[in-house]
Amino acid sequence: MNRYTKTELGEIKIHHNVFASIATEATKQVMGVVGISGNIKTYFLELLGIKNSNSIKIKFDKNNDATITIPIVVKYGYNIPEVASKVQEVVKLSLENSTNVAIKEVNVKIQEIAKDHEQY
Amino acid sequence: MKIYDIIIIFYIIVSALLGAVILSFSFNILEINDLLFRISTVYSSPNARIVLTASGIFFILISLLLAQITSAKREREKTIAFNNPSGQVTITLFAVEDLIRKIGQELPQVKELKPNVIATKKRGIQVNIRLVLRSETNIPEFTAQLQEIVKNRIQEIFGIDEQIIVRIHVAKIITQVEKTKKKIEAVPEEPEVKIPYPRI
Repeated sequence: MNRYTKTELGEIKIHHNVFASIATEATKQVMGVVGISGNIKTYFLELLGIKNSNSIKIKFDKNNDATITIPIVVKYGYNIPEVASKVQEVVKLSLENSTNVAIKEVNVKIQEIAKDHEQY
Repeated sequence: MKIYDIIIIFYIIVSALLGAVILSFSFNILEINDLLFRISTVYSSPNARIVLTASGIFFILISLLLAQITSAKREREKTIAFNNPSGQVTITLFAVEDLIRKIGQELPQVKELKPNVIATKKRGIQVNIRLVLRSETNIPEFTAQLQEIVKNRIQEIFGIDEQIIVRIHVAKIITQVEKTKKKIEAVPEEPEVKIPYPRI
Protein backbone atom coordinates (compact mmCIF):
# COMPACT_ATOMS: atom_id res chain seq x y z
CA MET A 1 0.00 0.00 0.00
CA ASN A 2 1.38 3.38 -1.01
CA ARG A 3 0.42 6.93 -0.29
CA TYR A 4 0.45 9.15 -3.40
CA THR A 5 1.15 12.87 -3.59
CA LYS A 6 1.16 14.80 -6.84
CA THR A 7 3.57 17.68 -7.38
CA GLU A 8 4.27 19.79 -10.46
CA LEU A 9 7.21 17.58 -11.35
CA GLY A 10 5.51 14.25 -10.82
CA GLU A 11 4.24 11.82 -8.27
CA ILE A 12 5.63 10.95 -4.84
CA LYS A 13 4.83 7.55 -3.43
CA ILE A 14 5.45 6.70 0.21
CA HIS A 15 5.26 2.99 0.92
CA HIS A 16 3.43 1.62 3.96
CA ASN A 17 6.75 0.25 5.26
CA VAL A 18 8.18 3.79 5.45
CA PHE A 19 5.38 4.84 7.79
CA ALA A 20 5.91 1.65 9.79
CA SER A 21 9.68 2.21 10.06
CA ILE A 22 9.29 5.82 11.22
CA ALA A 23 6.66 4.74 13.75
CA THR A 24 8.91 1.90 14.97
CA GLU A 25 11.91 4.17 15.51
CA ALA A 26 9.80 6.83 17.23
CA THR A 27 8.16 4.24 19.49
CA LYS A 28 11.51 2.76 20.55
CA GLN A 29 12.65 6.19 21.74
CA VAL A 30 9.93 6.30 24.39
CA MET A 31 11.05 5.34 27.89
CA GLY A 32 9.32 2.20 29.02
CA VAL A 33 8.95 0.64 25.56
CA VAL A 34 10.83 -2.63 25.03
CA GLY A 35 9.90 -2.94 21.38
CA ILE A 36 7.25 -3.60 18.76
CA SER A 37 5.38 -6.82 19.23
CA GLY A 38 5.17 -9.12 16.23
CA ASN A 39 2.37 -11.30 14.96
CA ILE A 40 2.34 -14.78 13.38
CA LYS A 41 3.05 -13.31 9.96
CA THR A 42 6.13 -11.33 11.10
CA TYR A 43 7.51 -14.27 13.13
CA PHE A 44 7.14 -16.52 10.08
CA LEU A 45 8.85 -13.98 7.80
CA GLU A 46 11.65 -13.51 10.35
CA LEU A 47 12.23 -17.25 10.35
CA LEU A 48 12.71 -17.00 6.60
CA GLY A 49 15.15 -14.15 7.14
CA ILE A 50 12.81 -11.43 5.88
CA LYS A 51 12.71 -8.34 8.05
CA ASN A 52 9.51 -6.34 7.96
CA SER A 53 7.48 -4.19 10.28
CA ASN A 54 4.03 -5.21 9.13
CA SER A 55 2.67 -5.72 12.60
CA ILE A 56 2.09 -1.96 12.47
CA LYS A 57 -1.14 -1.26 10.59
CA ILE A 58 -1.87 1.93 8.69
CA LYS A 59 -5.19 2.94 7.16
CA PHE A 60 -6.00 6.02 5.14
CA ASP A 61 -9.51 7.44 5.01
CA LYS A 62 -11.18 9.42 2.22
CA ASN A 63 -9.57 12.67 3.38
CA ASN A 64 -6.13 11.02 3.27
CA ASP A 65 -5.86 11.14 7.05
CA ALA A 66 -4.04 8.19 8.56
CA THR A 67 -4.95 5.92 11.43
CA ILE A 68 -2.03 3.88 12.75
CA THR A 69 -2.16 0.89 15.09
CA ILE A 70 1.03 -0.08 16.95
CA PRO A 71 1.36 -3.25 19.04
CA ILE A 72 4.01 -2.69 21.71
CA VAL A 73 5.79 -4.47 24.53
CA VAL A 74 6.10 -2.35 27.68
CA LYS A 75 8.87 -2.59 30.25
CA TYR A 76 7.78 -3.99 33.61
CA GLY A 77 7.25 -1.30 36.24
CA TYR A 78 6.22 1.54 33.95
CA ASN A 79 2.80 3.18 34.07
CA ILE A 80 1.07 1.91 30.93
CA PRO A 81 -1.37 4.79 30.24
CA GLU A 82 1.57 7.21 30.50
CA VAL A 83 3.77 5.14 28.16
CA ALA A 84 0.91 4.68 25.67
CA SER A 85 0.10 8.38 25.72
CA LYS A 86 3.77 9.28 25.11
CA VAL A 87 3.95 6.77 22.22
CA GLN A 88 0.85 8.33 20.64
CA GLU A 89 2.35 11.81 20.95
CA VAL A 90 5.83 10.91 19.63
CA VAL A 91 4.57 8.77 16.74
CA LYS A 92 2.08 11.40 15.62
CA LEU A 93 4.71 14.12 15.71
CA SER A 94 7.42 12.16 13.87
CA LEU A 95 5.06 10.91 11.16
CA GLU A 96 3.59 14.33 10.57
CA ASN A 97 7.05 15.94 10.47
CA SER A 98 8.55 13.33 8.14
CA THR A 99 5.71 12.71 5.71
CA ASN A 100 3.38 15.72 5.99
CA VAL A 101 0.49 13.31 6.37
CA ALA A 102 -2.19 14.23 8.89
CA ILE A 103 -2.39 11.53 11.55
CA LYS A 104 -5.95 11.19 12.75
CA GLU A 105 -5.46 8.48 15.36
CA VAL A 106 -2.59 6.54 16.88
CA ASN A 107 -3.97 3.37 18.42
CA VAL A 108 -1.64 1.60 20.83
CA LYS A 109 -2.01 -2.07 21.67
CA ILE A 110 -0.17 -3.29 24.77
CA GLN A 111 0.60 -6.87 23.84
CA GLU A 112 3.09 -7.88 26.51
CA ILE A 113 4.98 -6.79 29.62
CA ALA A 114 8.67 -7.64 29.65
CA LYS A 115 11.70 -7.09 31.81
CA ASP A 116 14.80 -5.22 30.63
CA HIS A 117 16.81 -8.28 29.65
CA GLU A 118 14.01 -9.80 27.58
CA GLN A 119 14.71 -8.94 23.97
CA TYR A 120 12.27 -8.06 21.17
CA MET B 1 -28.73 -9.73 10.68
CA LYS B 2 -24.94 -9.62 10.65
CA ILE B 3 -22.75 -11.57 8.20
CA TYR B 4 -21.48 -13.70 11.09
CA ASP B 5 -25.05 -14.83 11.92
CA ILE B 6 -25.78 -15.60 8.24
CA ILE B 7 -22.64 -17.79 8.00
CA ILE B 8 -23.58 -19.57 11.23
CA ILE B 9 -27.12 -20.27 9.94
CA PHE B 10 -25.66 -21.47 6.62
CA TYR B 11 -23.35 -23.87 8.47
CA ILE B 12 -26.22 -25.15 10.63
CA ILE B 13 -28.26 -25.92 7.51
CA VAL B 14 -25.32 -27.62 5.73
CA SER B 15 -24.47 -29.68 8.84
CA ALA B 16 -28.14 -30.71 9.26
CA LEU B 17 -28.35 -31.77 5.59
CA LEU B 18 -25.10 -33.74 5.90
CA GLY B 19 -26.43 -35.41 9.05
CA ALA B 20 -29.68 -36.31 7.28
CA VAL B 21 -27.76 -37.86 4.36
CA ILE B 22 -25.57 -39.90 6.75
CA LEU B 23 -28.63 -41.07 8.73
CA SER B 24 -30.58 -42.03 5.60
CA PHE B 25 -27.53 -43.93 4.39
CA SER B 26 -27.16 -45.78 7.71
CA PHE B 27 -30.88 -46.74 7.78
CA ASN B 28 -30.72 -47.96 4.16
CA ILE B 29 -33.15 -45.28 3.01
CA LEU B 30 -30.55 -44.01 0.57
CA GLU B 31 -29.44 -46.89 -1.63
CA ILE B 32 -25.80 -47.38 -2.43
CA ASN B 33 -26.49 -47.85 -6.18
CA ASP B 34 -28.50 -44.66 -6.29
CA LEU B 35 -25.69 -42.79 -4.52
CA LEU B 36 -23.01 -44.26 -6.82
CA PHE B 37 -25.13 -43.37 -9.87
CA ARG B 38 -25.40 -39.76 -8.74
CA ILE B 39 -21.69 -39.54 -7.98
CA SER B 40 -20.75 -41.03 -11.36
CA THR B 41 -23.12 -38.61 -13.12
CA VAL B 42 -21.43 -35.67 -11.46
CA TYR B 43 -17.99 -37.13 -12.15
CA SER B 44 -18.65 -37.60 -15.89
CA SER B 45 -20.46 -34.34 -16.57
CA PRO B 46 -18.13 -31.33 -17.11
CA ASN B 47 -20.85 -28.82 -16.16
CA ALA B 48 -21.60 -30.59 -12.90
CA ARG B 49 -17.88 -30.65 -12.10
CA ILE B 50 -17.64 -26.90 -12.67
CA VAL B 51 -20.55 -26.37 -10.26
CA LEU B 52 -18.89 -28.73 -7.78
CA THR B 53 -15.56 -26.86 -8.06
CA ALA B 54 -17.30 -23.52 -7.50
CA SER B 55 -19.15 -24.86 -4.47
CA GLY B 56 -15.91 -26.33 -3.08
CA ILE B 57 -14.15 -22.96 -3.37
CA PHE B 58 -17.22 -21.26 -1.87
CA PHE B 59 -17.16 -23.59 1.15
CA ILE B 60 -13.42 -22.98 1.72
CA LEU B 61 -13.87 -19.21 1.48
CA ILE B 62 -16.79 -19.29 3.90
CA SER B 63 -14.68 -21.32 6.36
CA LEU B 64 -11.78 -18.85 6.12
CA LEU B 65 -14.14 -15.92 6.61
CA LEU B 66 -15.72 -17.59 9.63
CA ALA B 67 -12.29 -18.32 11.13
CA GLN B 68 -11.22 -14.69 10.63
CA ILE B 69 -14.43 -13.25 12.13
CA THR B 70 -14.26 -15.63 15.10
CA SER B 71 -10.59 -14.87 15.85
CA ALA B 72 -11.14 -11.10 15.53
CA LYS B 73 -14.15 -11.35 17.84
CA ARG B 74 -12.18 -13.35 20.38
CA GLU B 75 -9.27 -10.89 20.22
CA ARG B 76 -11.66 -7.97 20.78
CA GLU B 77 -13.09 -9.72 23.83
CA LYS B 78 -9.64 -10.38 25.26
CA THR B 79 -8.62 -6.76 25.66
CA ILE B 80 -9.13 -3.83 27.97
CA ALA B 81 -9.49 -0.55 26.10
CA PHE B 82 -9.58 3.14 26.93
CA ASN B 83 -9.53 6.25 24.79
CA ASN B 84 -7.01 9.05 24.72
CA PRO B 85 -7.36 12.27 22.70
CA SER B 86 -4.81 10.88 20.18
CA GLY B 87 -6.46 7.48 19.78
CA GLN B 88 -7.34 4.25 21.49
CA VAL B 89 -5.13 2.25 23.87
CA THR B 90 -5.79 -1.48 24.02
CA ILE B 91 -4.23 -3.74 26.63
CA THR B 92 -4.34 -7.45 25.91
CA LEU B 93 -5.22 -9.70 28.83
CA PHE B 94 -2.01 -11.53 28.04
CA ALA B 95 -0.12 -8.35 29.06
CA VAL B 96 -2.03 -8.27 32.37
CA GLU B 97 -1.11 -11.95 32.90
CA ASP B 98 2.51 -11.08 32.10
CA LEU B 99 2.51 -8.38 34.77
CA ILE B 100 1.12 -10.78 37.39
CA ARG B 101 3.79 -13.35 36.45
CA LYS B 102 6.49 -10.68 36.94
CA ILE B 103 5.03 -9.76 40.36
CA GLY B 104 5.24 -13.44 41.33
CA GLN B 105 8.90 -13.63 40.29
CA GLU B 106 9.70 -10.84 42.74
CA LEU B 107 8.20 -12.65 45.74
CA PRO B 108 10.49 -15.19 47.45
CA GLN B 109 7.53 -17.17 48.86
CA VAL B 110 6.29 -18.05 45.35
CA LYS B 111 7.72 -21.09 43.62
CA GLU B 112 5.33 -21.03 40.67
CA LEU B 113 2.49 -18.74 39.59
CA LYS B 114 0.00 -19.22 36.76
CA PRO B 115 -2.42 -16.34 36.16
CA ASN B 116 -5.62 -16.34 34.12
CA VAL B 117 -7.37 -13.02 33.54
CA ILE B 118 -10.99 -12.67 32.45
CA ALA B 119 -12.54 -9.30 31.64
CA THR B 120 -16.29 -8.82 31.33
CA LYS B 121 -18.42 -5.70 31.21
CA LYS B 122 -20.66 -6.92 34.03
CA ARG B 123 -18.12 -8.28 36.51
CA GLY B 124 -15.09 -6.15 35.63
CA ILE B 125 -11.70 -7.86 35.78
CA GLN B 126 -11.35 -11.26 37.37
CA VAL B 127 -7.87 -12.59 38.08
CA ASN B 128 -7.46 -16.28 38.86
CA ILE B 129 -4.06 -17.28 40.19
CA ARG B 130 -2.79 -20.81 40.64
CA LEU B 131 0.07 -20.87 43.15
CA VAL B 132 2.84 -23.20 44.21
CA LEU B 133 4.30 -21.90 47.48
CA ARG B 134 7.34 -22.63 49.60
CA SER B 135 6.64 -24.39 52.88
CA GLU B 136 7.83 -21.66 55.23
CA THR B 137 5.01 -19.35 54.06
CA ASN B 138 2.02 -18.38 56.18
CA ILE B 139 -0.69 -19.05 53.58
CA PRO B 140 -3.64 -16.89 54.77
CA GLU B 141 -1.39 -13.94 55.45
CA PHE B 142 0.57 -14.25 52.22
CA THR B 143 -2.44 -14.82 49.93
CA ALA B 144 -4.21 -11.77 51.39
CA GLN B 145 -1.05 -9.78 50.82
CA LEU B 146 -0.73 -11.08 47.24
CA GLN B 147 -4.37 -10.22 46.46
CA GLU B 148 -3.73 -6.68 47.62
CA ILE B 149 -0.43 -6.39 45.68
CA VAL B 150 -1.94 -7.72 42.44
CA LYS B 151 -5.00 -5.50 42.69
CA ASN B 152 -2.99 -2.36 43.47
CA ARG B 153 -0.34 -3.01 40.81
CA ILE B 154 -2.95 -3.60 38.07
CA GLN B 155 -4.76 -0.41 39.02
CA GLU B 156 -1.54 1.55 39.28
CA ILE B 157 0.24 0.29 36.13
CA PHE B 158 -2.74 -0.01 33.78
CA GLY B 159 -4.66 2.91 35.22
CA ILE B 160 -7.82 0.81 35.48
CA ASP B 161 -10.70 2.02 37.66
CA GLU B 162 -12.86 -1.05 37.13
CA GLN B 163 -13.58 -3.60 39.85
CA ILE B 164 -10.78 -6.17 40.18
CA ILE B 165 -11.45 -9.53 41.82
CA VAL B 166 -8.37 -11.61 42.67
CA ARG B 167 -8.95 -15.31 43.28
CA ILE B 168 -6.06 -17.43 44.51
CA HIS B 169 -5.81 -21.18 44.37
CA VAL B 170 -2.87 -22.65 46.27
CA ALA B 171 -2.20 -25.86 44.38
CA LYS B 172 0.96 -27.12 46.06
CA ILE B 173 3.41 -26.47 48.88
CA ILE B 174 7.05 -27.29 48.21
CA THR B 175 8.76 -28.48 51.37
CA GLN B 176 12.44 -28.06 52.19
CA VAL B 177 12.90 -31.87 52.07
CA GLU B 178 11.44 -32.00 48.57
CA LYS B 179 13.78 -29.23 47.45
CA THR B 180 16.93 -30.90 48.76
CA LYS B 181 15.76 -34.25 47.33
CA LYS B 182 15.50 -32.69 43.90
CA LYS B 183 18.94 -31.10 44.32
CA ILE B 184 20.48 -34.46 45.24
CA GLU B 185 18.81 -36.06 42.23
CA ALA B 186 20.18 -33.33 40.01
CA VAL B 187 23.83 -33.86 41.13
CA PRO B 188 25.32 -36.62 38.94
CA GLU B 189 26.90 -39.51 40.75
CA GLU B 190 30.67 -39.85 40.41
CA PRO B 191 31.53 -42.80 38.20
CA GLU B 192 33.04 -45.71 40.07
CA VAL B 193 36.65 -46.31 39.06
CA LYS B 194 37.26 -49.90 38.25
CA ILE B 195 40.75 -51.29 38.04
CA PRO B 196 40.67 -54.42 35.93
CA TYR B 197 43.97 -55.87 37.19
CA PRO B 198 44.82 -54.44 40.58
CA ARG B 199 48.47 -54.57 41.54
CA ILE B 200 49.29 -56.55 44.64
